[in-house]
Amino acid sequence: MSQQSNEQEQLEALKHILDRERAARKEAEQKIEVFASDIYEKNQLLQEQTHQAQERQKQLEFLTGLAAETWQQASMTAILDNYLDRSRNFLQFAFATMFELKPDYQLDRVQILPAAETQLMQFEESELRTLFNHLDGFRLSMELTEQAECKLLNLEEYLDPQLGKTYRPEFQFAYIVPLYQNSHNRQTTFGLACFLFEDEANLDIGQLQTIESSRNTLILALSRKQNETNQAKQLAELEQAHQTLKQTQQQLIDSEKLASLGMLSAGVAHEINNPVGYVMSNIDTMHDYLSSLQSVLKPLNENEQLDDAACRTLMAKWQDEEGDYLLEDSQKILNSSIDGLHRIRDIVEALRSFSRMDNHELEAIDVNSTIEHALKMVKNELKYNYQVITDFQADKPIMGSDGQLQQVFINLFINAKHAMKGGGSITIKTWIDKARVKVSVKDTGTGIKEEDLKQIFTPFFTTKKQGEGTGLGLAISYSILQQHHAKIEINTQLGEGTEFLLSFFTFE
Amino acid sequence: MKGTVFNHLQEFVEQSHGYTVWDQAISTLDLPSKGIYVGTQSYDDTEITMLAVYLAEQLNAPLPDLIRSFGYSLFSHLMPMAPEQAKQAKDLRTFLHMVEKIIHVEVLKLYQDVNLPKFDYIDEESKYMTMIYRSPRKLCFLSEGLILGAADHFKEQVKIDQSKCMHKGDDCCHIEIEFL
Ligand code: HEM
Ligand SMILES: Nc1ncnc2c1ncn2[C@@H]1O[C@H](COP(=O)(O)OP(=O)(O)OP(=O)(O)O)[C@@H](O)[C@H]1O
Ligand SMILES: [Mg+2]
Repeated sequence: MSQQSNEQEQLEALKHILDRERAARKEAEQKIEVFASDIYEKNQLLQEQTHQAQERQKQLEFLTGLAAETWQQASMTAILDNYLDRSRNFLQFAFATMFELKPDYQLDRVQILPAAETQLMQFEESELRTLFNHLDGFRLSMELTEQAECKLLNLEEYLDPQLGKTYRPEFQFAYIVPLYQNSHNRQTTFGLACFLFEDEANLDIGQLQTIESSRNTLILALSRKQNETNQAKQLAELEQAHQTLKQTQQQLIDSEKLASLGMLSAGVAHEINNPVGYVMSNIDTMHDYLSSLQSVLKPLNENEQLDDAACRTLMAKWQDEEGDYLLEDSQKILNSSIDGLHRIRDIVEALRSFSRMDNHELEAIDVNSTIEHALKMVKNELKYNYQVITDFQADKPIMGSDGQLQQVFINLFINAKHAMKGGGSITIKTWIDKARVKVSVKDTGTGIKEEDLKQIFTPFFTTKKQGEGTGLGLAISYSILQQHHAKIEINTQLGEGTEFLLSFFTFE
Repeated sequence: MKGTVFNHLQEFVEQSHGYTVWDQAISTLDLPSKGIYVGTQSYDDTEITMLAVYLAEQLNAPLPDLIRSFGYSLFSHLMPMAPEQAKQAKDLRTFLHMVEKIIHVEVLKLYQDVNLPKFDYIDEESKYMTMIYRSPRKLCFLSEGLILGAADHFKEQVKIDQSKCMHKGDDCCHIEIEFL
């Protein structure tokens, strides 16, 4: 074989090989193309599946989230609010609204939340209200009465034929979700959630189905909450009844309080009787004095001109009847009578404020003067063997009822007296402690046994003989102090005495 | 058989015997593929047999020797495709076990349409191991070559012999490997 033909052969072979190589490459490229478009389609499919999976995920999230939250809500309104908000976020492109369809086919309690994707739709709330005003409530009501299920409405078909001639709604679809209904004398009010869609593009049947699926949970939760609310209402009624009972009881106590007042009045009568007694005897004495003076001075009336003799007789008579003394004593008697009358006037004054007791209006009062008034009322009771020591330092007013507090103090004083059969002393102090006005009433009596201490505020608890105590004093005092937001504390030592420590808020 | 194998065969022939030999083979044999092989495509098994037989005849070489030496050179092309674990095998013996357990398993995952042999192992003596080869393609000599290639790769010395062979009427081939 020649060198040339060998080279020729080689070249030929290479050419063949190259051709095959090219063919293979083309084939490969074709393959790649097919492969690429295959990949593309697969990718498309994958994306779609991913999207579906995401949608399903979102739906699931919506359902589970809604269910979880729904059961946590405190009230029906809260359940509905939460539902509306969640649905709106889930639907994204829908306006979420809620209203009641009344038996007169009117819409009531309309509530509107804009779509989550608001930038896409700019609607005035008033436009929506116009839409609702045009809604054919009659048709809707009829259809819901027949079947209270979720409904997708083509809004143009649901416009009131009497109104809707010219009006064209901004929204094309409404998805109605019946959530509750209240029937009354065969008249039904429907509670409806209503999701408004601008057009078909924003409608997603899968989403609406999810909304529909969530409905049962909601209905269940709402009816459960309604039951709860009813129970709460019954409870409130019971509480009201209980309150009335308590008030009645209070009134009973008040009338008992009047009975114990009766006992007090004996003391008060004595207190008044005393000055009346001596003013009367003063007047009697004055009467005697006056007739003596008259007998002396009578000649002055008969003789127009007194001669020396007459003058002498007159002087003698004056001496006889102790005219100087009469004049001097008359002055004293008059002063004492005026004192007596003042006392009576004071007591009446105190009684008057006592009678204002049931007038619960609180006013700024000086606790010291309240205590003084109370002391005046019981002065007679403490006249013998009892020493009253007062030390009034409190110089700020409190908010209180003078009459009611007097009653409290009177009872404390009388209790103290009863605890000190053979006599003793009552120390009354008032002072300021930060924002408080403190009052201490301390006796040197028997003290209170521990088992009694627990009960002394209980109405009708008394250790006293019949006729001496009703056991209402501290009970009433306690409720009065409560109305004054005042605290009461007791320090007691058997055989040593007892201190009642009251603490009021200052009024500034 | 994958196109790559044909491509490697072509390369092998071209390098050891020249372009004309390969071109003659393709031009003479009326193959369905017309000698156009795309690496990832599968081609009829008979094509490789026909090529091997024709080439052996042309080059005046015994067929087993030709296939064996092709296998030897093929190994270095296959090895880069092997799974990482196989590449890190600590020695030849371990690697050979991996052919059945790992390498061909992974190959099958990648290409569903490949035809692979079945290997069983007799491995009881430290110096010897038997790989029992079963395949309708009867490419036991290819295996021998591949094993020799692998031995080179692991820098080990082996002697290979077949105590049983499908080409001698046995139902499988016993490839005896002696580690030197
Ligand atoms: C010593 C090691 C190896 C041996 C003995 C071996 C043996 C074989 C044999 C004999 C075949 C031909 C098919 C048959 O007989 O049915 C084959 C096919 C194959 N082997 Fe291996 N192999 C080895 C290593 C590898 C390696 C490292 C790879 C790399 C991933 C590999 C990948 C393949 C592939 C892809 C085929 C299928 C070829 C086709 O059907 O197109 N082998 N192997
Ligand atoms: N200063 C005190 N020292 C000892 N015991 C007292 C004192 N104050 C109250 N008690 C005890 O508390 C009881 C209840 O007092 P409370 O004022 O409520 O009722 P009372 O004085 O018995 O009757 P009432 O005040 O209705 O006439 C008294 O019976 C007495 O046992
Ligand atoms: Mg009392």
